[in-house]
Amino acid sequence: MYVGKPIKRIEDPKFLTGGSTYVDDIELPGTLFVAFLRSVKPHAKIKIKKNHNGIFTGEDINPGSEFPIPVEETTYVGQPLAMVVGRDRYEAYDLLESIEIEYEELPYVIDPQEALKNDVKVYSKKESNIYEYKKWEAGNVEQSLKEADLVINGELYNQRVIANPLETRGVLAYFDGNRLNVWSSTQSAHYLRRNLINFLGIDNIRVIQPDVGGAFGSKIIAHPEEYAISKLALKLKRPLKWIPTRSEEMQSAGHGRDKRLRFKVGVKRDGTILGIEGTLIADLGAPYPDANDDEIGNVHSTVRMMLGPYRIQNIRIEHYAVNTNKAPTQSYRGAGRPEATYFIERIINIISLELGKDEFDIREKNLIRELPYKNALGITYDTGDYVGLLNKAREYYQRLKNEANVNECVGSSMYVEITAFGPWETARVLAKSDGKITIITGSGPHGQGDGTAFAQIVADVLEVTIENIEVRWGDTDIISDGIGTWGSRTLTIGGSAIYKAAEELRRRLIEVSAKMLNADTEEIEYKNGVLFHKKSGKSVTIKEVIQNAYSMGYSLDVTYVYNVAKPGYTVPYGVHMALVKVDKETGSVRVKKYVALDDVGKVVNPLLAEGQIVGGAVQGIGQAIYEGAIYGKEGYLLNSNLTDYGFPTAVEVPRIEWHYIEKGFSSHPTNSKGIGEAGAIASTPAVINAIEKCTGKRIVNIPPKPEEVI
Amino acid sequence: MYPPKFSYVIPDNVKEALEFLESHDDAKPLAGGHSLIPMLKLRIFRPSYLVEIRRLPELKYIKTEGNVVKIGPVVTHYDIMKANIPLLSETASKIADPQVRNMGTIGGSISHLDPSADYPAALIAMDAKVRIKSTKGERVESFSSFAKDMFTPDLNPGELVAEIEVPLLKDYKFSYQKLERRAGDFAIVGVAVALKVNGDVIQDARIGLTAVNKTAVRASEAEKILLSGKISEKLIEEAATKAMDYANPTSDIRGSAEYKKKMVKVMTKRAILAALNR
Repeated sequence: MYVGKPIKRIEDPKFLTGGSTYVDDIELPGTLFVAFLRSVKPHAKIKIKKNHNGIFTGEDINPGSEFPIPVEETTYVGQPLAMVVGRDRYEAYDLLESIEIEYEELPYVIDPQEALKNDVKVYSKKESNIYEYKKWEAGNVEQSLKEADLVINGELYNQRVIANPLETRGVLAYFDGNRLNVWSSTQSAHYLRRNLINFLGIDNIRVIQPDVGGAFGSKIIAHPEEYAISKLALKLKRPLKWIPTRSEEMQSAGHGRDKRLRFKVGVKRDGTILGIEGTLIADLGAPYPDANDDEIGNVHSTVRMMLGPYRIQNIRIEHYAVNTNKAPTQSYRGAGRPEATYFIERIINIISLELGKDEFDIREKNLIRELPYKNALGITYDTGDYVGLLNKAREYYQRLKNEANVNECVGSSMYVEITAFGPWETARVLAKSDGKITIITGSGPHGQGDGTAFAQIVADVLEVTIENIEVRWGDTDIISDGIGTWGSRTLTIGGSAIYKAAEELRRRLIEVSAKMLNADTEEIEYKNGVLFHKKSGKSVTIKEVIQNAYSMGYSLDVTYVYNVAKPGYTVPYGVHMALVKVDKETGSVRVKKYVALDDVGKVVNPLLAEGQIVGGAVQGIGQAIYEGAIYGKEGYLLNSNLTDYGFPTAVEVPRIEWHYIEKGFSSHPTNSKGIGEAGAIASTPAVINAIEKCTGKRIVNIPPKPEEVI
Repeated sequence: MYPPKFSYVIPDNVKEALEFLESHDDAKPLAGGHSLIPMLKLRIFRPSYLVEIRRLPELKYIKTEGNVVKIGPVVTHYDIMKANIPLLSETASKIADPQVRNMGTIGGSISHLDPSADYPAALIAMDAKVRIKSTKGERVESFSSFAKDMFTPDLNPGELVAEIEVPLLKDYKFSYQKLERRAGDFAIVGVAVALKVNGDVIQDARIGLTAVNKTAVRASEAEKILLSGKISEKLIEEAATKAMDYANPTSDIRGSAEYKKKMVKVMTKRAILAALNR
């Protein structure tokens, strides 16, 4: 059995030898380079002089419309406004300086709480800055707050951060006279293809997702530049490449989080939470439809998951999702759930400090006891043992507390998370005549190592060695369709499709072997890649079966579509703990040690699952201590480079210890749940809770400034 | 990301380099390139020529002559770090990250004069001298007068930093304390301290501050306090408090002016203690 074992990545060799192919590694004969002129004003009417033939504007891309490329009005600094085409990138960036642009400045609004008032319009063609207002309500909040021994008022801000994958976005597009071919650093070839079909109105499009250097949510949507380059490729009939600079990337993409909660929570002296009332303000940035559509779903996730793993029956949250003159916000690792967990777990910490009670006791008092459980806002938590996991976590918590010296504190957080969204995923498993098994997934891994896990699954189903299996994805020509990689769905949903396809292939292999051995299929025993006729004792190997199948008229090419049944997600949970050292003189904060305990159902590959937890935790620690997109009053991003926008280096990353239990299996064939985002969800509140304990001061904004920590 | 166009000159020797620099006022010498190239890539700087000096052997040496150490301008941070020069080597070890230290040079650092750079704290504390060369001859300036203002060295067109000279602070105790948000960052506050100690009396004290003024400064009144009595917690506290008077920082995303000023005290105290514990 391979499933459950820490199998090393089959993806590694090519990456470790520089044999990978990212989008900027691809070159077609005659490729030209495209660079974008970007707005330097947060809000302005624009006029671009086409003083030479090589300048293209919104008129060329989306005449009569303002998106993806504005024709008349820009709504954020960094918005792409015009393109130039050069023989190479050096020339393209020289040409950028030749564009003359006139800005007629318009009033702008940076703070979503100001934008709410609608005094200043983010975009003159929209009636309101409020993209969506919604009230979520269950139980009786007024009553619950009246019955409370203590009502705590507070405000919490989960700041804007930037995904910053080490490889930026990038596209190579070529229209060969018949077909548009698009290579993109994207999270899904199929989803990008659908977006391009809608935008361009043609369907002869092939999209290739080559190797992708990370995304963390920032490459789900089709970006304005992806649409523009594709359109321009149709026009120019030359291969066009676009790779932004890091500063461009940081100004224009990968912005996430940015939600503020004002709350009241009513508690009893014993720590029982009676009800929560609150107002959530989510900053959507500028009104780019693809991003706004993406982020509004995340706003809903924030509200609905804010109840955490607790039996809170009374809740009322009003949310305002508001446009501002900043870069549009998008999914970032966790996509709304980190904010939810952050809010409720910060509230738990605040209650614990106010009541002088242990945070684990507060959690246990309120914890959901029996599963499945439907929370007050309609989310069903499917399987697991919350109390058991919490109690196991107490042991680690105690151990960390024992290790804590002066000015060191332990913070913790418990999360529940929705993962493995539908609606479906595809898989193709086929046997080639040389005996090699090829897996093709409709999802689009970009670093998570699902290829290895898929190979493990198929190796077990077909009882062959993993070396016999190759895994491919990311080309709309090699599989009929697909959804993509996001929402911690790939292994569970993509893997279930693969499992089912492999099962069908196994069935066909048995059928062929039965014919070869003159047996009924029921008489065939399949063991370790050898098929026996139970009666005669004769056998054929899987390789012989594969070699014969086609001549016998059998196809060993199976495509399976795995549909995700309601509720369309499965819910892992866990407790994460951070030992934090606060330098009381300088205000510097360092996470010294980090322990995670998770139940993500069946763990297909503990090595890779741990890798996901470590990566997520580091990003969450980054959000807690180092990161934050800072906009100045003039509407500029003040830290659009990697010096000023700090994410942690190896020096700042603590030792991270991972433990797991396997109690709550999902109902999918893999029995797994998602883990891709869990680390980023749980770590930020764990770290901030620890800092709050050490300083004794309520933390509203993060990262806390050193001067606030002293 | 993409520099503007420029021409490139590879001279055979220093004389040729100086002649070219003198006859082309829009030429810039290229040493380690770890400040110049980033500026070119942002196009905040558009010289017509780069004159490569980093491979000229005449400019690359570290010599100890009696009580002074003479350092060629294209000696890298890495080589200085390895040279066991009291205070200066420790300071070099805290510059940026290993790749930067492999390329960046001391001459380049002080000709650039970023107000948050590390060397100036040590160089001002060490009373370093800068030898400047042109086709017309040479002159020697103290580091403190060489550093006229932020990004403004005392260099005329056609002149090059030819040597940095520091006293060999033999038998000194020293420390460079750098407050940084993350490994590899520029200093939020940097304090270089060198002390000559005899029993519980300090015979010489040198305190240099970086990142809190337009150029590095010596906290001379703080030094005097250290020289005024026996080493005690109180004396150190007083000196560290005094050092704050020499800080006139600006507020930016690394911290408010007020915070940075406070940190001068904290880092000065730490530097003194670390030096004494050496």
